Amino acid sequence: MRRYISAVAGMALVVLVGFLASCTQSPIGLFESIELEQKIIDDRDLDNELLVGGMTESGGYYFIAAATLWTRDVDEMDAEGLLTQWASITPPGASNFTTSSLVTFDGSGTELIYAAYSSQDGTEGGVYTVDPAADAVQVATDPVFGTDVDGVAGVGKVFVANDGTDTYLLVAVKKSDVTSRYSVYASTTGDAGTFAEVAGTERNLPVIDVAENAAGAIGFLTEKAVLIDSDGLDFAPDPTTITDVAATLGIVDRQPVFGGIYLHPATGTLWVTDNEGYLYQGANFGATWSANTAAHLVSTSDESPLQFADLVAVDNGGTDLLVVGTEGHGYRELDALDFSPTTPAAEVSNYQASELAQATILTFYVDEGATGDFLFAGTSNLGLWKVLYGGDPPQWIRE
Amino acid sequence: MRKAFLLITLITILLVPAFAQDDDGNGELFVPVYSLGDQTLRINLGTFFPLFFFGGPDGPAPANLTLGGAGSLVWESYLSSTITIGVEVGGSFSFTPNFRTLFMLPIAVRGSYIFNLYPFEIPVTLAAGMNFSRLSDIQKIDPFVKAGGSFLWNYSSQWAFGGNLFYWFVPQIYLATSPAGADATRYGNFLEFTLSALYHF
Repeated sequence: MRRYISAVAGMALVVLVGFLASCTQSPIGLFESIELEQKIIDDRDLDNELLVGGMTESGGYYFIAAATLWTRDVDEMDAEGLLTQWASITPPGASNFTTSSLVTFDGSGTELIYAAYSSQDGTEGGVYTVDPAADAVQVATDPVFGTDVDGVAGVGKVFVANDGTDTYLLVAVKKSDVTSRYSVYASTTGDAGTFAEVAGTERNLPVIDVAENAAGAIGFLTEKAVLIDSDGLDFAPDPTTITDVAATLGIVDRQPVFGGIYLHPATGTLWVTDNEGYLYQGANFGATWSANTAAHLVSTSDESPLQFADLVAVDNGGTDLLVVGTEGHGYRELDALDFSPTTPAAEVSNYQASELAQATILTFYVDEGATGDFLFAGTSNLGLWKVLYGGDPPQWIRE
Repeated sequence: MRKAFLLITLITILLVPAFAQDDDGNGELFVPVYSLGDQTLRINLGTFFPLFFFGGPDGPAPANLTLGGAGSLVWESYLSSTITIGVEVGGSFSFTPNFRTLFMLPIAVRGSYIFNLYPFEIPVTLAAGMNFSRLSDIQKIDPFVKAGGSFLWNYSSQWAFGGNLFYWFVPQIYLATSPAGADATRYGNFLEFTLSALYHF
């Protein structure tokens, strides 16, 4: 009998230790989260496993780069009151080109979609146009720029930026004339034969993000460099006009990989994210920086550093929020004026209950609407999500 | 009335083979008599019924979970012919409206009092321990209490089969100092209906 009593007492001790060790860093209770969960609306036919790398809008249509280009009417409902649905646009050529980057650009008096396509092995690629006003929306047969240009081995992302004088269509490229070097080409019209290499952008890594300010300064971000051009783009070999300010970010004994760069228009603050949970806040477009070393600590249940990626600002009923995407942990909201990221409010949002909370965010797109900002989030393999920010608790919908 | 008659008839027909097990075929009856040191191992598998949560600001609320599955392994030892104590390791799963999966893995000590109605046994059980819960990337360890009973038919001196009905109570308590805050405290209530295979050794 004593043996059994000892066994039970031992078990009770284990149980007690278990209770004492029972702690969690989650910002929401487990049962509470279940009690509050609402079904995520998913009533559009877009594939939920898509990798969505870019999004834009033109001519009353949304366009996304998700291997194939997809488009749908900006209006939620069609004339018959039915939900508008996505349709794919046949890629160019017969070589299984895919795309993950696109922009809207008006270089010659006609607003067009410019999408960067690449072959599966990356050895071929080009920037192709789509005219959203055409009766039958399709990708142009020939690229306006690509691997058929001397010195270009592959195309990466496309961007649009104004340097204070001109608005440029920018294309990140892999160079062919120099091994393992990357650069940026630019054109003011977007027409074939008008692209030229931007001086000073050649680096060991491709440009992954671009920001600009009202004064015409442009920031180019690679995974290891923050290139600032404050005096207009140059096309002659004059690399001194572009400065890498990464060394001024205050990084000590770390080798972070940068994820995104964004200029908050209202405050003029330049933000840079990295993959070790750091946010960098730059004044005067990167002239001085401050970094938040504890940005990640409130963000994940296991307190591991968040890998921050793309970011954008949304108007949440009069208050600007920075929305910062992560790798594998959804997104975090950040007051545009400080360094206090929080998980989106759990008690009043369906975010925590959605797969988006575990997603890798590749891109954000904001569509300013009459009732608030529509924020779209493109993920690495969980499709496209949408939410309306208007002061009310954001309820995510899956496209 | 007619339905009741049919039901009683059906139950009687189903029970006839059970009573037939009194005789092992060689004309020898076995009468299960267990004593200190005798042990059993039991496997249970069945359905998990999430009932409700209470403790929230709006009072009791539906559990917001689908029907799920439950199972457990139980080791027990006899203290006397009618009292056992033991340990069980269990598991359950169920789904939220967005098909997130709630996993709960309780480990508990248990004690039973057995009503012998040969060839049937009706153990009434109380178990207490801790419960490991996981939902998406949220994890929690909570106290765990389970109470209920079983209805077992002794197929032989070693094997018994039957069913179990248990009520699970999982108080999930958050301190005010935790990131979720005290408002996140909920008391989970669940029901388990499982089938059992029990081995005496």
